[in-house]
Amino acid sequence: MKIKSRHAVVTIVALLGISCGLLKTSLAQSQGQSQQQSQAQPQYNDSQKQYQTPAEQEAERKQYADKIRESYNFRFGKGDISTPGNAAVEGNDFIQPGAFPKATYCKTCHAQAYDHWRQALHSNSFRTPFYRTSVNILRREKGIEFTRHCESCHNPIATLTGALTQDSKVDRQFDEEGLTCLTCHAIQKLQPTVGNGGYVMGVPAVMVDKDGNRIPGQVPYVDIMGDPERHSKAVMKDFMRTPEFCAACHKANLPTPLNDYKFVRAFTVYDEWHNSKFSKRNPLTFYSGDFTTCQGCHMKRAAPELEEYGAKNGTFASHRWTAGNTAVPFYYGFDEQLQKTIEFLKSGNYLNVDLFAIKKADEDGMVAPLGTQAFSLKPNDKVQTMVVIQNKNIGHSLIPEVRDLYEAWVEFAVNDSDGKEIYHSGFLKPDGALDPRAHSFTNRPVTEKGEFVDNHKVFTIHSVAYDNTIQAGRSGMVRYEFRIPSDAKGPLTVVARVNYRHLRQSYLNNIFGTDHPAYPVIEIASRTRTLNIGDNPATAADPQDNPDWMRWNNYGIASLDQLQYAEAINAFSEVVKLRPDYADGYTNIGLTNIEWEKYGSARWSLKMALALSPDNARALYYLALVERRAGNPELEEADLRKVVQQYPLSRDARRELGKSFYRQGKQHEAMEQFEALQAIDPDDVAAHYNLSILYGRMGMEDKAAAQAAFFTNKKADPGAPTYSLDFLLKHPEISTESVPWHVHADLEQEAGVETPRAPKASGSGDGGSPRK
Amino acid sequence: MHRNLGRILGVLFRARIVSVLLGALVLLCVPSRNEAKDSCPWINEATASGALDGAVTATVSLPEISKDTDVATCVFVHQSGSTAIELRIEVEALRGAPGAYAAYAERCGPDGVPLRAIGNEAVTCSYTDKKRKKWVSEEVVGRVRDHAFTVRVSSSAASPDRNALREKARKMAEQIAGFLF
Repeated sequence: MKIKSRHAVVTIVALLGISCGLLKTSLAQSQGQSQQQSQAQPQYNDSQKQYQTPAEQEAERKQYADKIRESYNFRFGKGDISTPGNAAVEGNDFIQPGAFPKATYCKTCHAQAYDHWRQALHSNSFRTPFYRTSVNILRREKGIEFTRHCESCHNPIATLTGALTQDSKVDRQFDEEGLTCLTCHAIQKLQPTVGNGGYVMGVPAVMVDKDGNRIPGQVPYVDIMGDPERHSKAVMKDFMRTPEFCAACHKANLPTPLNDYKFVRAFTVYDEWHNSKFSKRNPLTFYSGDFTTCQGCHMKRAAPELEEYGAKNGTFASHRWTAGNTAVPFYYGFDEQLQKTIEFLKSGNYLNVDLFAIKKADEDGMVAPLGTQAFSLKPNDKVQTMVVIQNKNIGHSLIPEVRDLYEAWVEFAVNDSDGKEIYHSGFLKPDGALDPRAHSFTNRPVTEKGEFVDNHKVFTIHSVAYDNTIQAGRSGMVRYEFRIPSDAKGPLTVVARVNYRHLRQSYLNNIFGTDHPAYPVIEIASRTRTLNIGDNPATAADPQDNPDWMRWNNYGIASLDQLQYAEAINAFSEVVKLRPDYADGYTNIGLTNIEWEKYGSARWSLKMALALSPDNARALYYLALVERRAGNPELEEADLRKVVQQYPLSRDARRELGKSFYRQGKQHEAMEQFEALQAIDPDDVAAHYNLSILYGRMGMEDKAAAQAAFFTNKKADPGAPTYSLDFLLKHPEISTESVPWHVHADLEQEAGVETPRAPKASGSGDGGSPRK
Repeated sequence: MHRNLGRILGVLFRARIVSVLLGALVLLCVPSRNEAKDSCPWINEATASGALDGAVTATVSLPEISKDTDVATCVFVHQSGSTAIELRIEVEALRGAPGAYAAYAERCGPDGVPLRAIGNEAVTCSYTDKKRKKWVSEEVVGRVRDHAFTVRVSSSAASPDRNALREKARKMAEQIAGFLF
């Protein structure tokens, strides 16, 4: 019997083996085909059972999460579902895709919001080729689990449902909705403003019960209509109207788990806003303005054209989020969104372009401001033109966020009366690429080999070789030099314009290959002047021109940023001549003297400012720095205390007051300031550094170690300049642009100096090089 | 016969050959490396199931030798009673002259309607399967850089909604193109 049983077992084993062999042979014969009957997979279903109880929903979620967890790639730690991103969800577990109602569910009562949203960037945050090309590279080269870094913002549902893993079992039909209604409107709280998806998602709910408890899933419309207040409580939070809400994704870094290197700042448009006049949190802005949030510009209220129950007092906040992206509406054929985007870029007096001055090579001094001063020109004159571009009313830099992909630049052209081109910079070449020597507001992130990261492989970025922008409220200056031909027919027409293209041509080529249509180039702002060959009398100001004192002020700001301190002081001196009541004019002189390390002169100017405007926070801040230099810590502290009192959310004031306390040995007070600074900006390296020391001295070893680790990871890599230099050595056209003070000119060619030129058909090109 | 087989196996067992057999069994039944990779490169079964409104059977064909991991043919079928709905996706690399895609796109014929925002370019059309005359098919033919793709949704139902089939094909084509970018 025993032997018989053994025989039976062996027989079964052998037959199974034969069967397996036959099956394998059969599969091989069918050219590598495999057949699998799908298991019961988690499905995306927008007709879920309505009005689930929290217990039912939790049970359903747990069942779903258990299944996802079985095969999820927990590469970054057990239970960690979103690293290298920061997306978080209540319950810290996967959530089923069907928990997110589709946008059509909301459309019934919010037709206007839906109509805006469908064409907006947020609804297309994932599916566009512009994004997919980039994230696909990351998926192919490092693995899909790394894309959680990007998808924490671009596709939160994919991140939180556990779709971003090998052999995913998640139905991805939600991809087409990107940031759907119930992603933003299900966020329950915000993490500190570190970005990368710094939110905490709740289980989507569109109603709360009478006790305020959230009712998950879709509920019948009749219930919502019966108590819209309870609907509003479920989907709207006060923080949704704040810039910090936007910061959850409009601030980004490249963390170590992504790049196996260190923390690298990607972009931080939130912090740019924080430092702008619109935040009213920074005493150091050159100009003042009314408090305006992100939503104030990008979600302007207007009378709805479609049925919209979310309208209040006849207006509704736009859900188009119009900004600079023309590429997405152009690709999808969203003509209305494209038109609104173009109108937005051209509206709002965001930029001011000023043909501020000319300087003739054979004369000392410059003619400035143009229009106010008379001058004369003659053939063969070599003329340098100073173009000042003011970031007047953008609440962030020009251009913000991914400066390696977007492209804004200055086009400058001089033509004679016959239309003959005398000089042209910033043209597009026949292949659509920008004149490589154009003055552009872009950057050049580079790898550790000093190669340009052309295709947004952000995980390879080790340094930024060049980063040219104009921060909010500041001004940039571009110098162009040309010679008036001996046979030129006057008058000459000089035009400077700031153009914008979404996206850079070579990145478009990365996406589509070179056979794609030309993407829109939008002129954001421009200024044209006519120059006579002969006498040029003073002319009336154009309505778009700034007053002369502000033109000088902007020239001074630009000169200061180009480290031209004497020119800056001269400019600000002109400001106080024209506006002796303007305290900031004196403060600007003081600031320039501080940067020039002329502290005595700075003190005088700052005292003048304070005489005009007692307790002026900006003047007090800079005076505190002068007092520090003079060895007056009590006065330094007193001034900074006044600044912090007026601007409790000023990073600079908190940081400097912390340092002031630290130097005086007031450790508790110093710690308080650095902790306050860290609450404002969790990435501030000065806060990390000082807190690591202060915590250590107070015996808080764990906290000290944590801060030290943050500091080590976030501080600049001392090797980074080497990577940048490697790039700049290979790219003289960018190397020139990376010098703060430089001139764009094509005059080298007159002297027989060979410089790269654009094809003749495209324009004369320019061969700018710094000439100090 | 059975007795003989048992006797032979008994001998083998006594000779401790059974352990060898068991080892062979394991080797035979565990899928080889190539088979384990035979999942559809661009969409998973759950997404196909969602598109076809029910559980699917998947058939994946990968080229015998190719370094191009985007090239494959996947067929997903959802059977509901006597009717079936099928999603067929083919991706191939375009080689040779610039006109390679134009030749590929001819499979949609002159009635192809251009589709915006699917890959570099795409057209949609009805498809007639000569071998399955009762089936109704709608397809999208498109290109992403140097890859061409065809997404076809077919139904064996008596009178299926062609617009619905076409919309399913469009949505799946967008998924495929997105993956290929």
